[in-house]
Amino acid sequence: MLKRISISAIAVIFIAATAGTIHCAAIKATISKIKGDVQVKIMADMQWKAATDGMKVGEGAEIKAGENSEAFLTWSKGNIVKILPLTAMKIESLQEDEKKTSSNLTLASGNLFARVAKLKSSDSSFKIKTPTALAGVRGTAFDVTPSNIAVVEGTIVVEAGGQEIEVTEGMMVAIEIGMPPSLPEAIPPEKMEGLEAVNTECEEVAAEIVEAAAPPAREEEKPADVEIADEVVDQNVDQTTVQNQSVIEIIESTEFEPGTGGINGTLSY
Amino acid sequence: MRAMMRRMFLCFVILVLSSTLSAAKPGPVVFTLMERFEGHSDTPSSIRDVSGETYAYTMLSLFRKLDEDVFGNIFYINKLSLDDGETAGNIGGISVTKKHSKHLSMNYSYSYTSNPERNVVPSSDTDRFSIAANYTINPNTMSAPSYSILTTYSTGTDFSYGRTIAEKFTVKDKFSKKSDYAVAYQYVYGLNNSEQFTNQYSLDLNFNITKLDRISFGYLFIDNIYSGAAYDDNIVRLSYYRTIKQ
Repeated sequence: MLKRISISAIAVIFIAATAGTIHCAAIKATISKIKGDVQVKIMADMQWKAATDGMKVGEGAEIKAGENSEAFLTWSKGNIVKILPLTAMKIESLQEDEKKTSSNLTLASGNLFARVAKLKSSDSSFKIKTPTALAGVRGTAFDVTPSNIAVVEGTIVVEAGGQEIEVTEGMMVAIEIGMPPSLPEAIPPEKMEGLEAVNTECEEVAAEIVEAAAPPAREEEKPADVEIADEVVDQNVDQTTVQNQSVIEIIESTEFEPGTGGINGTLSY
Repeated sequence: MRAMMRRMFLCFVILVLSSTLSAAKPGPVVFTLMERFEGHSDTPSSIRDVSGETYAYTMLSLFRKLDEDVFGNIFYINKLSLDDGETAGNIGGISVTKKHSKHLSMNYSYSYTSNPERNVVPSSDTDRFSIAANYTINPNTMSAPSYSILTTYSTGTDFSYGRTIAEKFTVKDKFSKKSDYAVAYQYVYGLNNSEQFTNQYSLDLNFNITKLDRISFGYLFIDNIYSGAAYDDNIVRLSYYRTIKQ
């Protein structure tokens, strides 16, 4: 009895322990709209190579954009990052299951603009780590450089120097290595204008990519059995109302001469 | 009429039994209701003259998948003479269709036609068997026309009268996602006294209002060429089909 209970307990523990880990699957992001010199290193020990439109990159991939170069990175139906010129970044992890998504990026240098799709649940996360801070977001569009973070839409939480600070829409914080974030201040209008333009661009690219990935709208089709029913019904109606009827009329026509009003002859067919 | 009802009931029992005895799970019943208005230029009327007549047809059909690629259909059609305001015919039938491939299907049918007495025309009852083979080239296509050849052998149930063989060639193509046309020629040959009965030419324009409603506008020319044929018939018809799926 005890042996059975202990086997059952081990089984339950094993299932419980593995259940949480087997569901969240690593996913890949797609590089698109490349301008200029954008290079990718798929894995740490691989060579840098030129990025191409539609290239898939996953966990561990590093991307760098040269002077006057940029590209978009998209994943999970709506998450999009614009990689701006002179930027180096790394995908630490991208994971997704039915209930949550988890995205972790690192910005080594340069400038990223991120637009985040509505997260699936409170367990979901989207984080960008810089040498000075960690920005965690929820339903937000924001701009990150190692020295400051500006929020265009929604709210983000910035963690730096052991302190967390919430940055709301239209505000920005400055960050220095080892120091907590500065107090949020309004984004200057000229900077906000530029960021809004990038945000709109990201929104359009994300919508375009989501639309392209969506299955084509299904035409209103007849169910297969209705299609066959139509064929069979048409054939039977034609057979009985036209073919049989014309044969009956031909048989009857041999019994009378039209216009005589009488029945003559015999049935000959 | 009572005899017809008895036969129809028997047919219905056979249909139900064949579906329940079948190994495969029968599909849902598909009901089809048809309303058709049909104008004839020359057809025998109830006073035995050959003139224009107009009819209204009402059909109720029950269709069901009986087994893998086997389909049953039982139907009743009422033919009303709009000129006389009286029923010109009651037609009941049953058919079993077997799809042998996506190109070839066979249809085996029995139908009973009861024409009531009208003016100088006495009542008549006729029942017939038909076996039809339909071969379609390029079926279920979205882009190119489909071509089909339908061969039908039809006979009175005692196999001694009204035996015919018909060959029908149809070209069907889509105008758009919802509309298509069918052009057909049919040759009907009487086997009892070995002569051709008719040539039939038809054009049908079909429009699917929804996936369960459709309208069809058709023209049919029956060129009667049997011995003693005194007239040809031009038929124009407008049909509305409503399908209800269980």
